[in-house]
Amino acid sequence: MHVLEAKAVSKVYGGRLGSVPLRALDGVSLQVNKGEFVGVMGPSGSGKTTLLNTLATIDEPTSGAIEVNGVNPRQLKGEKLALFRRRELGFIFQDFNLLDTLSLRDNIVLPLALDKVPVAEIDRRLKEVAETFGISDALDKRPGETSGGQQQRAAAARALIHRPSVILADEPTGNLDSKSAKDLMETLSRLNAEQQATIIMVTHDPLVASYCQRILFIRDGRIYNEVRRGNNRHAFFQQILDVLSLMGGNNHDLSAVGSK
Amino acid sequence: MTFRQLAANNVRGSWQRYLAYFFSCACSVLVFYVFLSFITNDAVQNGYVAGREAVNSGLLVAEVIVVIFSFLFISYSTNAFLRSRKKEFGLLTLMGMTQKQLRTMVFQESMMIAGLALVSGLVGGILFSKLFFMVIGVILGVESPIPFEIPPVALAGTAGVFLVMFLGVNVVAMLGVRQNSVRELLKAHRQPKASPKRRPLLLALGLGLLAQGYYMAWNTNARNVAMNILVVTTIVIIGTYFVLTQGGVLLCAWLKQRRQLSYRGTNLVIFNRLVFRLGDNAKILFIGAILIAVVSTSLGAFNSILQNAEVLARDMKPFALSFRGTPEFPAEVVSQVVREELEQAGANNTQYQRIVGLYASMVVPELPDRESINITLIKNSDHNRVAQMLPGFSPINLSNDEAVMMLGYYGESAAATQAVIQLAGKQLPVKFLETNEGGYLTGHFQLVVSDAAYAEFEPLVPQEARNDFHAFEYDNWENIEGIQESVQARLPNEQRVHLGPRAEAYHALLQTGALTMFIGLFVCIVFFFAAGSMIYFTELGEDRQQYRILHKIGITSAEVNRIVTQELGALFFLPLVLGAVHTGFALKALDNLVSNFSVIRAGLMIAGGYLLAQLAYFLFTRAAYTRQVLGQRDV
Repeated sequence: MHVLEAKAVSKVYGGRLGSVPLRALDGVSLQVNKGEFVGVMGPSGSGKTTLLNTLATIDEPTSGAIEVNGVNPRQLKGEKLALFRRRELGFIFQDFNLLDTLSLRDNIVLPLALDKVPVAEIDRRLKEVAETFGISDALDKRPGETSGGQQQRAAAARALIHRPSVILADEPTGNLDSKSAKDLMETLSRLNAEQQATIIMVTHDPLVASYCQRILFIRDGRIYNEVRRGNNRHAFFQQILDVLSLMGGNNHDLSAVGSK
Repeated sequence: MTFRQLAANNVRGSWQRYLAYFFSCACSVLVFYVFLSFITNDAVQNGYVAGREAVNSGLLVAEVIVVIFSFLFISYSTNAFLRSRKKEFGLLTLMGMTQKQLRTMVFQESMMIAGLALVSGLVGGILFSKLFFMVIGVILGVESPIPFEIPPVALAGTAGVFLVMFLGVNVVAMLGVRQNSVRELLKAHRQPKASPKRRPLLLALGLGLLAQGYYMAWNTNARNVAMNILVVTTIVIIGTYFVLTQGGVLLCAWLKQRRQLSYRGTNLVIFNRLVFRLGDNAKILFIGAILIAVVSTSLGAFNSILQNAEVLARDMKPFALSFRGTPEFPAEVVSQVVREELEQAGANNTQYQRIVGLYASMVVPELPDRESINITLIKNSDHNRVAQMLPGFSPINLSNDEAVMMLGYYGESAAATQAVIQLAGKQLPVKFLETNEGGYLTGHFQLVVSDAAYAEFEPLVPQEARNDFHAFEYDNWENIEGIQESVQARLPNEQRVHLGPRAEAYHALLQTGALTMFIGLFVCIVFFFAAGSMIYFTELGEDRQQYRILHKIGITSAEVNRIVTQELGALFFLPLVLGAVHTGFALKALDNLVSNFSVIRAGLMIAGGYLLAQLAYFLFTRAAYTRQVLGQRDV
């Protein structure tokens, strides 16, 4: 069953007052099943982040439709859209996006607190995600007092605590060292395997991408290629590298730590 | 791109950050100019306006308040702006900008804003001064409007004062722009803000000081007022500081611990943010609370003067008109002239009364440290006739050894119950009957004695030791003016008469009250905008970032509104409520000192009006802030 479906989604920026319109997405269609871990790769400016933002309902497609669990979020009005985002989607951003006046604990429980979930239930779920991501000891610190790795794990915990239908991750390892990146990816892929969490992740990093089950390659706003993982992650990694070099693009897209 | 263009582009690029600051600066300049242009107006200087000295000194005090407040506000804002731009400075340093260039850029930028604010403030002030002159003309009862002009002195003075202020603040701020390490500058925005320090003991001390201050204010009376003013003001100010710097932070931290409460919807965000907002802004909130207390207490006091001008005028001038006759001064002739002139002017129901008091002295056994007290003896029957003429006095019937000391509201402080009257070697012991009526012969302690006692003393007193007092009373006294002049015109020049009309005192009171409230209004406006810009808009950039994050994780606009309302509301109403409570106690203390009218009612009227104005301003600020915070979100 499709948890998420995009039908011929296009996004055109600009075009007003004589500026040249930029077609960031050009009829992209994709389907994501429950429990899938999908990666989106492509050179800079290929439209991956636009795709993710469109799926995340932060950005509105110019044409085409998106459905999450059979609901088209575009048909939801203001307040309902925000609630939809809060309940059905979880976000992990490259720059963490934690509120710096809140402790990690408060940041993580925020989506549940906003929905007025009973405190006992909040505590139970907090304990669970904090253990999953190994940040139980840092919960009382504020983001500024913790390492980038801890912050990103807290952000991931926040994205997961309300058990969203889909988790959307935009370069989640972009600001992390390789050890933290590895920890985070292993946790995410374990969650995917054990709890059937559906994850869509944009990344530059072939090594990070190799944790996915399926990779969509995007170029100039269109889906260029798709690879699926077999049983061997190393073979999959090699496959990814092959597609990337086939696609061309910039050299730095091949580097181990993607930069923006 | 020249260097100046770079600075100009920086300002243009982040005008939203400077908008509120710019507006408040312009507002201060405007008010300062308008006041100064009145003081230096040619017509005003040449005596076009009666009571010029009083108005000018009031305006000067207001100018000083505006300058002090503007200085605090400008230096606070300038430093806040620099703090929020550390990352940008780091980038510029990274690109090779020298420290000197960085300072020059910052200096040019802030002087551009300052220059712009100065010019707009002056233009606004010039336009506005016309309206100001009209209103002040009406209040002062000037017959034709005060001529509009643009005094160069006022222009130069305003420009000078504010330029010096801007320059001074900016030079100091500029020297503060240090190139710490680039890394430090770049990371500055990531650095965790230190949690405000929590000191419950200071809060307890502050609450204790406030309680003590309130207790003393509540029990203020004529005897302890001098001491109380000093002590109460000091401890309440200190107490307010501790309560505001610690109270809000501690309360929010405590609320945060109550998870049944804090894990309910937006509370989690609100409590957490408020700990920092209250901590960061504690000093401004403190100044705000004190200013609110001072402003609304004085406005309340002046309003009670306005509301009770008649009572006060009657207190100062018991009679509508009165004068003292001397042996060289033909009192009968003068009183006839006055009567004729009163009739001419249309006075209704004119009553005339002559009171002859005898100068004497008395010894009060209960006050052994006073050897003798000078008094004026009044005949019982004279007093009763006056009592018929004046409202608030009742006739008495004294026996030979009784007397009434007319002290009015000083009565409370007089512990005496008996005295011995002394006059030309003759002594008469008397017992005092109680009264709270005040004297009507100004400048004297009046002792009413029985007709018989008076008759015993009267032959012993020569004419020059008698107080020959002539009093007039008529119904429409408020509207009869100019009697002093028309009577004097009919008397020979060497006979100077001083009628001391009550109407004059009455109108002076009304004028002072209205004028003070009018000037106070302007100072309030300056304060309103400046405080708003300091508290709400200096951290706009950071706030916007936070709301963007909340938006991404799915927060509804109703929830954003709730957060903004509760957060701004706390910042707004915490000092307001504290200031209002201070005002209440200050008015109660004033009320204790005044027995013949209530300060509290008139004061509460004003405090209520002030509260409404603040509420309106809060709603306005909230709307502006919400728009700014949600303005550039990426939907």
